[in-house]
Amino acid sequence: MDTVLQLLVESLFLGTFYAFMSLGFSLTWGVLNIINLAYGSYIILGAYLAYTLHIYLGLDPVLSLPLSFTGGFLLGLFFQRFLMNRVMNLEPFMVLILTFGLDIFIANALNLIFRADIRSIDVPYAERSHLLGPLIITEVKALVFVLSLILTALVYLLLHRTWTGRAIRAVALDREGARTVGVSPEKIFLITSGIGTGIALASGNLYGVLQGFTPFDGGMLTVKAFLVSIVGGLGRVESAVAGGLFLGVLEVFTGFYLGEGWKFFASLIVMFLFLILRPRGLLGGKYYGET
Amino acid sequence: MVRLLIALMVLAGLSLAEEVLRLGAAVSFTGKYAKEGELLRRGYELWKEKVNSMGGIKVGNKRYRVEIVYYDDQSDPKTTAKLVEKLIVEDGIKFILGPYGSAQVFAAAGIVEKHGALMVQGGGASSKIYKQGYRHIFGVFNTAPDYGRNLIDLAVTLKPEPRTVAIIYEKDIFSEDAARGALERAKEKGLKVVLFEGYPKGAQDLSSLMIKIRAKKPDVVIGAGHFRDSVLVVKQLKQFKINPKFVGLTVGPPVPAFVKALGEDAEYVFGPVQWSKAFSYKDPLFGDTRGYVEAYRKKYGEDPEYHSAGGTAAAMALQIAIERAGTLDVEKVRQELLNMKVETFYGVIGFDETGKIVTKPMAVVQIQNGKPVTVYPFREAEPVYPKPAWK
Repeated sequence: MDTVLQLLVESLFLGTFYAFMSLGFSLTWGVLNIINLAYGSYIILGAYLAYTLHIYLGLDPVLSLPLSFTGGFLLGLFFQRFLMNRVMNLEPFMVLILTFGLDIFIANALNLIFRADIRSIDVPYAERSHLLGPLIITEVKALVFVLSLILTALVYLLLHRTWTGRAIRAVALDREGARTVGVSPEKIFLITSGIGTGIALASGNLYGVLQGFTPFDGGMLTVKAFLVSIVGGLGRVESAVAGGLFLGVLEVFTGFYLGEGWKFFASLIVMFLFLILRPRGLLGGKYYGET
Repeated sequence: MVRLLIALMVLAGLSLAEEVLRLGAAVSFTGKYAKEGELLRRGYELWKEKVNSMGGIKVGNKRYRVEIVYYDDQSDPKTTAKLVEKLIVEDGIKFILGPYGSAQVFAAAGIVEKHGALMVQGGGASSKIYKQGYRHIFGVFNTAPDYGRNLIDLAVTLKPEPRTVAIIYEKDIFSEDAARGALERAKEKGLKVVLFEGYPKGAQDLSSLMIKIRAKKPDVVIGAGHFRDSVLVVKQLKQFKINPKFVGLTVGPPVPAFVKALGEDAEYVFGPVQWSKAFSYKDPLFGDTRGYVEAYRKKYGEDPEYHSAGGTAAAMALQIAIERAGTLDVEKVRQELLNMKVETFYGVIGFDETGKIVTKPMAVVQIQNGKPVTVYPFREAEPVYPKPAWK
């Protein structure tokens, strides 16, 4: 019983992180209709950024979160303006090829700079933990959980309580309709891409605190973000949370009962099942605009 | 093609009438194993000087002065294979001293076997080398299962006696072999194995394993993996407040980077190592282990590590076999290697029919005050046990 409780807590912590991590992916997919295969590499880019700031400036990865987000935001603007805009109106296949190439490019650039060694951000509280009755709560996981929760809530508020957020949802729902009421979809694309990439890099900070990383870990993270979006359903912050928690439970429990080696395999099986049986995900909904 | 002929004839003050026995070695002087390759060469060179200063190798009634032809394999197994072929075919050398690295040794072994030459090596610890049915390959490094076995051997001698053990391992050939070695030995010694589980290569979060270990509260935790895994295991044991009496890791503890990566948390972790200067054995050339360490220190200005010791031991085994055979015939020398059971500074050297050493234990070190000290089978210091809780 204690063990199950412990596993549930682990699932909750990990799942909340997955939810936040996947928001950017789901947002760009839902609003821009771009499946960004480089998304995982953006996350890893964020992890290396936090790592570098930690090594050279002694900056705690939590403190460098805003920096990562801003850096990601600018990068997102740049990619959207100079790359995505060129192919967005062509066949969807072109976008896939472009982001796939971007993924390879980022991974190999990181590999050139940092080599393939596994890096980790060794914060002073990395090994601290607290006993809570029969449970053991590790400090980094709790920290990442709380931060993911706050940041996810912020994204929710942004989308629902601000003019920009409402404009983003309007564009997601109906591009031409949005244009007629004075929202420029092109501008919204830029902003959404910025926010999405910002979320990716910021979650990289958290990822780097949670575990070690190499330049080539991006692919697996893309698959996870994809899975969260498929399972939860594309389109709402709530869907990403549902998908994230689902993936957290799935990974933790298969890891424990079947062995670590089964985690990824089980995720993929589940993803296939969802695509076949419930393609709109747990919560349904396709667009960020639907309420 | 950069092929460096590193050492040619070192003309010691010996009479020119003497005959010369040429040995060959393809060792890494450049590339990722450059450091280990150089240490291995030092081991060979120290042996060569010693033998030559004593009048050379005695074969029947003749004495041969030793020369070693070196080529740089650039840390690339394919190059090793080519160079060993060159040593045998072009240079006409029948006795090969091994390269550094399991992959390099493995590559060399196939060539040596093909041409019916003979290789004694102190540079590869993979069990794979001995599973090919090769007849002409001998090695003085303990193979992977011994990494696990010797940790258990040490654990069971400690008081209060441990009763339960958890073994976790990375799923690659070396680590799995090491873990199985520990598993078998633990069962033989009557320890209860409460967990034996692998995790995928490159895993960066072992939480689910840690939750299991935490629930089972084993006295002994053995981790078989590579350097990064060892660091991760220590960190996560601490993170989950798991305090076994004995933590043994197959790879990591003897390397300075281990203490650097973990700081205080590295304290009291055990790890096996091929050879340690704390060994105490008699030796036909150097008197004893201490004599070997001093000769090495005198020549190179630092203490020998197991890389150099392995080189010297491999060369010495070859020398003893040649002298006992009284001929340079490969088959007869091979037979003497199979019959051998001789005490050297390195430990007792004796091989099974596959050519791997079976007569020597590995040393086990424990990190004490930031330094690895040998605690088994010879004691530089008393092992600290049970291990104090994490700070």
